[in-house]
Amino acid sequence: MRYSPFLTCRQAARLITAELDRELNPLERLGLSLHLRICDACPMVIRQLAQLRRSVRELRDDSEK
Amino acid sequence: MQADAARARELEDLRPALLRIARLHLRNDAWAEDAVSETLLAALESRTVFEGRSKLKTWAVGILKHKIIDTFRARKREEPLADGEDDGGVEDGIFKEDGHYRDWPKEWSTPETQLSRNQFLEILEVCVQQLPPAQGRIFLMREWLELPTDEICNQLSITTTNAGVLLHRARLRLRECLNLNWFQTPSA
Repeated sequence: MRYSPFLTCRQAARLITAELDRELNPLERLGLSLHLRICDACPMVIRQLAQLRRSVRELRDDSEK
Repeated sequence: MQADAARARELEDLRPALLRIARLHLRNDAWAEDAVSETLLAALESRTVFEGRSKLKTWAVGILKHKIIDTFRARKREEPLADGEDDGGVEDGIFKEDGHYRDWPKEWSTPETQLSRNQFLEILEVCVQQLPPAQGRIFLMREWLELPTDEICNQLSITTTNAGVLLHRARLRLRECLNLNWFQTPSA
């Protein structure tokens, strides 16, 4: 990915999911935080993916109980 | 040897629950059956004493998780486990050409009752089952087994980039699947 500070939602989504697995580098962090300041859609997606993670763990804990 | 027979019966009763977990992870019925049989055998041979069924199950699930990872490691030579299935289309379905969302993301509600919570988790399980195999496997290694990405890459012999792409696609697909099958349903 090229690091324009102005990311599209599609590019931002890649960083949003990447952040669930690894630490973002400083350029990625900057790009994402700039994007989130002007975007109303992506913060919602961040919450959805957090809920997805919580829900999979609930499913796991139910299945293993 | 009566104790052994009792333990064997208790373990046999766990088979369906263990199979469900193994199938979800391995995406291959024969491998799942092998992993569960090996788990039950290892559990039977152990002298560990348990109070109560739930502790026995927790312990057996712990063994199974190791068997699942062993299976990935052993099978990766005969079958590429995460060969980057051609699935770039998932992003095109979600984003317009200018990079914006086609459908504006909506706030997800949290299921309020126990019943709707359980129904939601059932839908989630079906959505996970419907992922392409490589995506499903790596997603569960990450989110269910909670393995760090570098360990997953090691076990599957794939690059970090490949792992990132598969995890990204898996999450986008699951988000779409839940949107379609749960969050858009009026009763949810």
